[in-house]
Amino acid sequence: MSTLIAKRAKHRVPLKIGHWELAFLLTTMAAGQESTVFNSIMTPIVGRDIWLSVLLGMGLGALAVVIWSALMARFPREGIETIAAQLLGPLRWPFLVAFVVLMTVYAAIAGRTFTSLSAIIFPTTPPPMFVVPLFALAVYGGILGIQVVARVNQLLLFYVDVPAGMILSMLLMGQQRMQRILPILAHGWVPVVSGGLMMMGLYSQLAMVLIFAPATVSLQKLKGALLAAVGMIGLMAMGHNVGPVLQFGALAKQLAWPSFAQLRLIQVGRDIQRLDVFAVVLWVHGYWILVVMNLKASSLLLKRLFHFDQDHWILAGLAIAAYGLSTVVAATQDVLFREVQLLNQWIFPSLGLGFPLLLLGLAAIRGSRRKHQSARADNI
Amino acid sequence: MTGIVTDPDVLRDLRIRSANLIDEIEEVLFRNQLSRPLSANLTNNMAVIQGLTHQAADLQFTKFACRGGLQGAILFAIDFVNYELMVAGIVEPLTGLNWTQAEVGRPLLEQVAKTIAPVGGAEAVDNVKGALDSIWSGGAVVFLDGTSGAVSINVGKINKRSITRPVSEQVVMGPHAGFIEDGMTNLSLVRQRLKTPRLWIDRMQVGRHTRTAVYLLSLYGVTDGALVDEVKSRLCQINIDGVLDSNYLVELVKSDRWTIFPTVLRTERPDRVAAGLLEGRVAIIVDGSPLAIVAPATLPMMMTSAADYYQNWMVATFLRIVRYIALTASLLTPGLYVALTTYHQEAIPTPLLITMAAARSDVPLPAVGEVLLLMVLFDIIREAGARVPTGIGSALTIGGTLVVGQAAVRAGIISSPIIIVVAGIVIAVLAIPNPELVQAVRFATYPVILGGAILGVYGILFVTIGLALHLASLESFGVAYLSPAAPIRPTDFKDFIIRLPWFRQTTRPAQTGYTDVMRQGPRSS
Repeated sequence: MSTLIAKRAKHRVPLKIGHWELAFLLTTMAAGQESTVFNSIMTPIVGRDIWLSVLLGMGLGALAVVIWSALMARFPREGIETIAAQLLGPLRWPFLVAFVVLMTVYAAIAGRTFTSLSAIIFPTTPPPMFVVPLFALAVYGGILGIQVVARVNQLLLFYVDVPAGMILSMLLMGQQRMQRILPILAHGWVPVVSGGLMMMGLYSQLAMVLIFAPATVSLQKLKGALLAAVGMIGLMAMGHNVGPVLQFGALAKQLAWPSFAQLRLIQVGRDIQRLDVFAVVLWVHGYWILVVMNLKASSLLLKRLFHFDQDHWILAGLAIAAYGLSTVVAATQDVLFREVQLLNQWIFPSLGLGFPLLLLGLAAIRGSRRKHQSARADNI
Repeated sequence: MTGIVTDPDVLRDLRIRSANLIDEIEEVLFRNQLSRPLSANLTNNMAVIQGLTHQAADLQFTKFACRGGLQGAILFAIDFVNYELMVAGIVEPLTGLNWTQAEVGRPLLEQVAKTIAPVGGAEAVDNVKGALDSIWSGGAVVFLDGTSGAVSINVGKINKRSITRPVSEQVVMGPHAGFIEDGMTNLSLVRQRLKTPRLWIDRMQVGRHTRTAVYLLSLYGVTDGALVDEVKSRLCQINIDGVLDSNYLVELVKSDRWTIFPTVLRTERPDRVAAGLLEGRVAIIVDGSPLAIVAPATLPMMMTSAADYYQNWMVATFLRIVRYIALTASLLTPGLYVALTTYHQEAIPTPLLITMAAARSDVPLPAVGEVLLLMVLFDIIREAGARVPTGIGSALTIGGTLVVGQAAVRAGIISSPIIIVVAGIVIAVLAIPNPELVQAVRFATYPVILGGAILGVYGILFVTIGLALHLASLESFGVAYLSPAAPIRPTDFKDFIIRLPWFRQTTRPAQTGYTDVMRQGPRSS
């Protein structure tokens, strides 16, 4: 494009992604899951003490941000692949390939979860009718660039999700009772820690920031934005997870989709009811962002690892692979929940937190620090 | 090579090639004739010009003779010149001169230029192209027999309509002047509003055959110089045979060409152009078009009416909110109707559902068929109404309303609730102030309906996200199309959905007002 576009872009419309834009993307990505599948997994495990798990998760999430920020501060404008190359050499490959595989598999699981959710409203519609458009939109968004996705995310988040969430919350408030969260810690700390680990898995997914960070406008302000994202995710998780407990009490543990069951009870006046159909807006948005982010992060990582000029075809290939996987993973909803739990309690924390911690430790031992910073040339 | 070619394909190829060669030779000869210097022979010059223009009916050679006997001729385009001025200012003085044929060789044409044409200005013309160019601009070209060259004297008459109200952007309170087809008049309308030497106007000529005058306006010290350079360079790169309206330039210079959404603002209002310039944007005025171009432009700008700034800011804010609701409603309502009636009946209040079911019980078409049929019918009526004369227009409206509203329902082809929905969105879409955006929204409604028909609310959401991705990817000369909504630019929220009062609008929009940020000094705020 012309020099003007480049100049104006530099000053006003960033070709790269802003730190707040990235933080909002990560927030939406997490909010889509915690309001649906996480809610369904954690509520039966933790029950009334779910708010404690959320708080615990927030603390662990903040810790994760501190670790990632420390790594990014040591290697400014470096992606995880170049940091790993400097510290691990050829040993980096298994870890980085695991990142790609994990994110692609998780995109597939997101597709499968989305189908499960959609089946509540359209029980007879074949799953491809939902998953194909979802993945197609993810590829379209990824090809247009993450900044375009971030703009759409901001539109949906601030002009649709937040107002809709607030209205729905207000409509539900009349039916909720605070005493339903009592007694606290009736089943001890073990379920709370288990739920906290799930939340840690959710926050560990944000480790993809180590792939996007080199393309952010301001690395210095990224830490603050990420901490704010942790706070926002925690706040939303609190609302989404505690809401059903306040509504149903101990009964919440027995519901398949507690937050959705809660929405079904909304009634305005005599005739307006069943507004749950409009909650589709929230989860379509959340799951679309989840799929885009996972596929885009994977394709970007592969592009950098193999020095491709652009990632469009990689993205399309990964989307096809993820779609194929989404049709074979998790034959039933119970299996799906188990898989999500396994990935989030163990795999994501290991890679998202453990691997950066390992790199940070190695960097500290070897005294590695990149002094001169140069912005990456690739456009995300 | 020997022998006779008999292969029909080769022969056809040869025929095409020879025809092309002849065309090229003719073009070269034509250009040579155009650049040929005007000779001293009057008859010869007349013959060349008449030959080149194929004796165009609107060109006239008028021969005259000076009192002294020197022969001459005046070439002009009919209705491009002021006849009274030409006769009184050129013909009569020339015929009164005592010049004879013997005086040929003296710089007679220079004298003509100096003495006869004091008002409109005169310039020497050396070749045929120069002579023809000047007559289309209202010049009368004087030839004198025996003297090479000619002189063009400006006695032009401008055919223009008077300044009227803008057709598509009327306001109740505020200025009522609108642009017309004359570029210079339009410039003067802008100049009346910006009486500053900082208003820079660059003139360009675009279109090989139309030679349309294009004026690029910018406010020195306010507009980003790089933006001006970029627009200028894009205009200079245009190599088209003709520019008959500003939309030709829009399609040629705008950043994202493959979109139905307007990424530059076309306006009939000089006050909007002045406002755009004060915000650090550039404006393009095209001779022959009553619509000026303002760039860069964003979607929120298209949702703004000039009237917003001429009334109470709170009222203006309320009206903007209404417009955004109208935009959303006109885009989504038909699709939502289809989705709710087809898939999500549980979300419709029971009494309403019963009424709708009763109304639809005899209708043979599915909801999507009804909506599409009625939308297309309304679009046809609207399109026809835009073309027909006013007298027939009312008949068309009555006919359309009767046919669609009464007969179709009574015949059981469509149900009455759908008429309410479609009529509602037909009205709602007109609340959008920008006609080009109205058309884009009309177009975008159809995929939303289809999405709703295939996958209910899911389909609507998928289509809406796709549309949002498209809109978010658009840029107008480097400015994000959805700015300040996305990317979020809180500093520009002062004139987005809420129109803050002028005493709170101290800075120009961050997206454009780059060189001089401040709109107001400390006192006025």
